[in-house]
Amino acid sequence: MRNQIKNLFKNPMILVFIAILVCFTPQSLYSPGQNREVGVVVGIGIDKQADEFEVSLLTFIPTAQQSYEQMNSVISGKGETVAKALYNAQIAMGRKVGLSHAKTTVVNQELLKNDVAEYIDYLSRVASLSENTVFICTDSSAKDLLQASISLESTVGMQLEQIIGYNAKNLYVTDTSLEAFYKGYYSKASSSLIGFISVECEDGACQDGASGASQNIGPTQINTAGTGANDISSSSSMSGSSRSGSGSGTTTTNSTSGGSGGGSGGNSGSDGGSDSSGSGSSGGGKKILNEGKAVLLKNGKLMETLSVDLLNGINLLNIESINQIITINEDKEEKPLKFSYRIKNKRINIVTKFENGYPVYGAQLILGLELVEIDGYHENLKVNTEFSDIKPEIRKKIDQNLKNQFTEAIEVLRKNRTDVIGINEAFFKAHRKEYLHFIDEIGGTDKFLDYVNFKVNFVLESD
Amino acid sequence: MKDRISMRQAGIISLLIIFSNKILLLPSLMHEYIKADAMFAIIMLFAIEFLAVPIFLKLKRTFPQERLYDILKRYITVVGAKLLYIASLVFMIFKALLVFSVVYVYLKEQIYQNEFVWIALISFLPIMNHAVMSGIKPTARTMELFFGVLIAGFVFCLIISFFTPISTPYFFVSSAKDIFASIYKYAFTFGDSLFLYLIIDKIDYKKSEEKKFYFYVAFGMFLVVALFFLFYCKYQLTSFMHNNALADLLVFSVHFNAIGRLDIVAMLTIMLSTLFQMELFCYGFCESFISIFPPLNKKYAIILFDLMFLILYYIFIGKYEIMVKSTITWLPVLGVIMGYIFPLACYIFTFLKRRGNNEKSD
Repeated sequence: MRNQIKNLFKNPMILVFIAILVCFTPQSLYSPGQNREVGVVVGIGIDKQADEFEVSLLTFIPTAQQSYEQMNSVISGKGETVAKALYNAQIAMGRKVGLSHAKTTVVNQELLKNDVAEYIDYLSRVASLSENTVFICTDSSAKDLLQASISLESTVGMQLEQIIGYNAKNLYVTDTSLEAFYKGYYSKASSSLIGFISVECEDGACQDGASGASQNIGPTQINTAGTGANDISSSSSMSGSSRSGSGSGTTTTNSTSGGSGGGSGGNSGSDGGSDSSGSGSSGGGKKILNEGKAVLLKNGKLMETLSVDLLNGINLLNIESINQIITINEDKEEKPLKFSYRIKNKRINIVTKFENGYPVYGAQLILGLELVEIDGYHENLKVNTEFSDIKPEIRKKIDQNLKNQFTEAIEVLRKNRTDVIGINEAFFKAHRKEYLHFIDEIGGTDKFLDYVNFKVNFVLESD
Repeated sequence: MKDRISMRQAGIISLLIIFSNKILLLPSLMHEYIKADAMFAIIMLFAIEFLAVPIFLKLKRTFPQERLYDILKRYITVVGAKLLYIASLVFMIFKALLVFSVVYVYLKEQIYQNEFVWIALISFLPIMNHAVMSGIKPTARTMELFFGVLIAGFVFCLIISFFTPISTPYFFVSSAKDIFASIYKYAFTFGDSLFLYLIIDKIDYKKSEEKKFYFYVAFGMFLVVALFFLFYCKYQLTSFMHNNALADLLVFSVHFNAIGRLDIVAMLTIMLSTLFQMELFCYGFCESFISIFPPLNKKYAIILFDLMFLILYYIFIGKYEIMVKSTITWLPVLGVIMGYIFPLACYIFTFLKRRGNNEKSD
């Protein structure tokens, strides 16, 4: 036995191993659990008020015997920079900010008046924030959106990034992650597209503390705001402190008792109408509205908010984008009818060339269409082969409809000197020499889209 | 027991050493300078490095049992040989420091989110020291054992990138001058074949196994080139923003978020390869030290390595940025000497030896 122990100790690695165990085991046992030191942040919101930033963190603090909503809270901090505001939010939370699970980054529309890359610089530099985090914009405050998302998740079971994920897959040209934003930002046309979600406030719920009584208890301020039996929102806010004395941090916990206006998810069908909207559940009188809109950015600045129709127009050249609904009006025996077709599949042939020194973008779109509804015609409803036949006059109307949609989309892109379709890249890839020469002649990539002659041909097939 | 390794083990060592400093930060650094044309630069750099392999084998055939020091002593005198070994000693320790700095920052971002340098040093240094003390044979055996796992991890990372949108990056956007300048600028990250020359006397040479050796070297280079290509295909314009190439091929694969974080595969692959690379650089340092000061043994060499490593890391280049900057400012000079000029000199030695033999036979 003694010899065995002696042999064991002859190996220096055993000694090192024992030394490591002796040094680190007590330390590990003594250390508190990670959730006591690190707050898991699942969403970040950035707002700007005057010269001050407010960073809101949608945090998830797993605690035993607490409901989902109690474990979720929105904690915010203010500061002159995003980093400072985040630091103050961290103080308010009493934990270090763990960003590796942050799946959503929301910015207020106001921030997009300037180059938004300046504001998200901190988040991009913090490598632990993975760049597949969804990047969206809201017309309300980012904090309100995050607060509303708490009860959206608890009542409908839907997360914010899932709503925007649907949009990204079905409506936008690209996904709407931080990575996609930067790819567009650094592209030739410096254009990006990010998701847009609204927050609808009821009874002034978006004005913090406006409707509730506020009570000061030492350093902690508790606001209570009740707007009805089914809509009770309580929030506790702690005054934060920072070393320099500037900025503050607040913690808001939303709880909704009873049946809090459970929305049916935030997906809006792209039915071609401009009034389509989906709403999520309300938390403290706040509703998440997903109208399928997106925001067009140029050099990180907001140029225009795009409707579903415009997005569909842009997406005509996107092979991934299907399931759009095209609605046309038709009179049958002096009876107005509306025919709705769904784009079931899509094939695209693209040709780029320079004709007489000018760029020509030719695209042949072969669309497989499915008749999904005839509005105003309920007689002799039968599923038969007549649905697979598209009459010439209807074909003409669909063709016109699609062409109008595409023209409108191109007009918007031209007006804003943006190119989210990748026209510049297509010409650069196929005709680099001519493209660069042409760019030199017109004085920059911004104007390129103005000179491109689009020849789009639709081949409509019944499917 | 003779401390010698087979040609297969030498091949595995050369493959692992080819990975060093190239699988995390380098693709992003090179993209910042010459965009996706970094592909051409890396292919040219590997072509130069690959040329060093036949030279090495020729040297081995010409001087089957001799130590590198003895070969050098014969042709460039003792002083010349010692100077070259001092350069090799500096080369090895800075290589180890660079590998450590880059991987430390990666692990800090991915796992610890905080400084953990002592834990990292306690994890790395004893294992490196133990590997050197055990000799090249046990070290190579360990590498042989984990080789399959490491390659599987690496290939897995490459394959996953196909599950996200990728498209060919734009080539020929940088000038030829910039591409060639980058060959000098990033010379320090290459020239790793020097290690093989240092252990030339410890390899059991068999002509029949030459092909196997070439295969491992070519396979290592192919994997690195594939990593560069897929990384640029995936990130294109934003490649410069992603500092951990191999890991970043996995991290942003949105498709796989549902089954948790697959970056653990990249993490393990990187940690394993780093450990082996550090062992090799430490071994290279100690070999150089023993040749410079023959009366001193490995223990002194290891103590000196540890001290120099800690001092350099803390006092001189403790900051990651300084280390990375050094690799493109003054360290390329060392890279050119050890990576390009040294193999060329070795080729001349084999030529001189052959001429000497011919003169004798005449």
